[in-house]
Amino acid sequence: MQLELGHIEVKDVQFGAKTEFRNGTVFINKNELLEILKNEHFSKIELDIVHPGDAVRICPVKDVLEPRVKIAGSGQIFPGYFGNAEMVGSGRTHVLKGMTVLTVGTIVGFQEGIIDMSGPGAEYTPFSKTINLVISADKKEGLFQHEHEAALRHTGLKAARYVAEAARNAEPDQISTFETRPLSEQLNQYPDLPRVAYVYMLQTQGLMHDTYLYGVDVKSILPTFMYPTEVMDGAIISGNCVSACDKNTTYHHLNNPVIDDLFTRHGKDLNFVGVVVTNENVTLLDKERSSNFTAKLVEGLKVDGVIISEEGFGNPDADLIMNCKKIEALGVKTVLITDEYAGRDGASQSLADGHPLANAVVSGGNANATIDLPPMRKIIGHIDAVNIIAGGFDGALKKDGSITVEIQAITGATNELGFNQMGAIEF
Amino acid sequence: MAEIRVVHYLNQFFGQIGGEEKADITPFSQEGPVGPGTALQKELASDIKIVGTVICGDTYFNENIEAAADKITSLVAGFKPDLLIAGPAFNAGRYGMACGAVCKAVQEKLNIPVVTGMYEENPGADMYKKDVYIVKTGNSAAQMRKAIPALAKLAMRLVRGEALGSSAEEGYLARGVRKNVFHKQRGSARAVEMLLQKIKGETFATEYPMPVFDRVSPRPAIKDLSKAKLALVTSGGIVPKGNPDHIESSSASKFGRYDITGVNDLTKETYETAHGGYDPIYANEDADRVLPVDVLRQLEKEKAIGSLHNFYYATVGNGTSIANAKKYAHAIGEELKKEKVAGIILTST
Amino acid sequence: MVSAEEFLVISNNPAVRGIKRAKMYFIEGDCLAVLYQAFSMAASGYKLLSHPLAGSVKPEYNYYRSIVFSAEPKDQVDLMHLRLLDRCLLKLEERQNAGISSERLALYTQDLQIMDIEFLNSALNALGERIPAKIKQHL
Repeated sequence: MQLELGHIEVKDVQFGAKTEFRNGTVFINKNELLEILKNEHFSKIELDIVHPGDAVRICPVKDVLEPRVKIAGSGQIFPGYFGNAEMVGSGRTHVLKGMTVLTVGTIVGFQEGIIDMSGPGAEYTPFSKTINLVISADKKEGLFQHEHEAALRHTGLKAARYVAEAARNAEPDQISTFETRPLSEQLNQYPDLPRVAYVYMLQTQGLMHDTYLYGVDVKSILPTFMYPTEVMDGAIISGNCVSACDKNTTYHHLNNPVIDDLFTRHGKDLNFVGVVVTNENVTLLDKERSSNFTAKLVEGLKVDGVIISEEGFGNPDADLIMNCKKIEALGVKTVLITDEYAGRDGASQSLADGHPLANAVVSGGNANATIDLPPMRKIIGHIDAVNIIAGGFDGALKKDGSITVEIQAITGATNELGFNQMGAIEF
Repeated sequence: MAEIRVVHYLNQFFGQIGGEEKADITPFSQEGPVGPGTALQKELASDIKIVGTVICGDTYFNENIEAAADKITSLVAGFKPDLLIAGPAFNAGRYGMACGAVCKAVQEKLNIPVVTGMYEENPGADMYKKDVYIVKTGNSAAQMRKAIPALAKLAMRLVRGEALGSSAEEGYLARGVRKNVFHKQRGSARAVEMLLQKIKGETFATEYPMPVFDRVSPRPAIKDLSKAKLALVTSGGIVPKGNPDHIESSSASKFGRYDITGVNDLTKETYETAHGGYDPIYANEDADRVLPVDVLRQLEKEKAIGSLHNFYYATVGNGTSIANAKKYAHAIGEELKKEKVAGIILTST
Repeated sequence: MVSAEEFLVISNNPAVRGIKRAKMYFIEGDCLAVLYQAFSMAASGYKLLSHPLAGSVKPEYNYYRSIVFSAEPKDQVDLMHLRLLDRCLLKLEERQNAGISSERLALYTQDLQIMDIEFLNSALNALGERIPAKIKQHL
């Protein structure tokens, strides 16, 4: 499967008369978009555009997406979502690089996800460096949580698709080609290089903790094989709203850095053969079953090593360790990517599970470290949410608008795909 | 340039007073550097002077921790120091415990930077690494030549108020504190690099060392106690009067095996405690309180248990390193297995 | 179909009280109280079926907790599960003072109860037959 990914660099985003890409700027017809997003579930939808460096705080962020559009090859971006069953990951896809589409709104009580576009908080999220189209939606009274979450998720997907159309006829500034061949061919393409696969763990525990693969709820699947390029076309979508710091937004899935960095070295010092996607369910039986199945798939790939990324905190640590143990038992080397919950002083046990075989770990950092965020001139969303937000605590929001929170409240701060440079080490 | 004043803490041996026979000397001080302090002084910058040395016997310290720490702190204070350096203690358990305790007390009471040096298995390291900076050293005084410069280097950084890097960078024992840092590469790139190193069998450094959940699975219960031969083992330090094997009152370097054939009761004439970590009065009066020979002999008579093995094993659990505890346990366990002992009653304090 | 006879749910969530899909044991108290009870039960031989730290809502924020066990104790105590509960308790106890006040929590009682029911449903669905997750309640 081969995909050409064309990056169209976005220098600015503005509202304009017609949705198009012109001279480095994405113009968006505000009224047209609002019309498309209009929804019986929402009492109000607002659109804003924010730039890196703006004195703006956005909270609570639900999902972050990137506008991508399929130019050639089967299927459409976010397959399975809008009624199509074709596979993606081949042909050509255009990406509006440098911008995102953000959805904001309270769903279930306490919320999560602060993005500061400037100031100290900006260091901890990748989205302070992108131009963001922010969609704030308020739900109508009496809307059930499931419907609310689904409505907001669909809003983000629709908006991302709409904006991405502007890239259809644009000329990419840069085209990268990614290819993964069917297994036996791939194994033979670089016979002398170490063979590596990626085990991609997805959060799947229920409301606000779900992930979708080709539109299917991942909690109900057994682990399965994917070509890495399918992920680049949006085969995996986030319905995960909890734990801002380490949940994977749809943007993170689209731009999966493990896949990116494995491809960077593919054919040079490693042979990247594919991806195994697995879930993180609630019952111990499911955890055992999924990790057994994952190990079985990894064995079938005949690889020398795997990278395993986790999503979320607490009980997924059990899945992570099960996957690690069982894969190491096959003689396949593992490296785990996780984040830590080591307390505000950094002295507590970081993970809820452990095993001596998990001897190669990359950390996304301690989510309990605190940060003081200054007041911002503009708030998009609901700032009261901060006091209830994961990582916020009583008195976190001060009268002058400044906040002291744990970095777990910041979107993407301790991402477990290894998206960030931040990590934690022993002192 | 104002002179930076340093006090050095040493035990009776490095303080050039004597060996084990002088381990009970009480704390005292003298001007200038002593013993390894002279080498330490050479490694310190010219504006940093060891103005005094405080010396104390390891046995005295470990048996009078609070009083000794207090006395030593005031002796240290007498020199008006900016910094305290203790040891290095290498793998000497009692010395390590003393260095750690002295550092902690001085840090708290005098509010000055403190630093010591130990081998990572020293029980003092386990006890105090979260409270004070402990430079990693080798496991014996033979490594003094490497330890002194390392100790001096960290001492200077501390007294100059420099921000310290991670334990790996600076050479001190990890204090178990996780701090966020910004690496040069993103996590996924670091993961790919680590995986290739691991696959090739090269050394790699994990960013998060897994905690050792040292689990011992319990054995199945003894089905019929009335037929079982039981043995007594204690880390409470109960030894025959006079402590014939000289088991140390802390950081014991050995265990003893003692014959209790025909002994139904431990008395104050025949047994005592060697343990320096608890008030010995009650154990010395009646050692059965820690090693219940009398009760087990009674149960033997009543046929509630099959028999009490005629040898018991004892050591002192005060400041024993995990490594040593494991070693003694294996040795004792092997012997008891040979004697077909079905179960062990382990007492500790 | 999930038989009420097969499973025992312990919970401090009042919304779970009327559950028909399993036997139910209600616990007065916070999340920690539920975990202590879970630990005692696991030590008595009840088989732990769902992970005690469901969801990614940090434990100090998630007041309500429902945990699924086998309805009857087994002969053997599962040591691995006991250790799992031990570690979960450790994490919970560490974070006890890091949370938010009960006044603020009260604002979100309904939502927190619903989150907990969601995880419970996920667990019971998985243990019994697979039922489309979109169907609500069925407790």
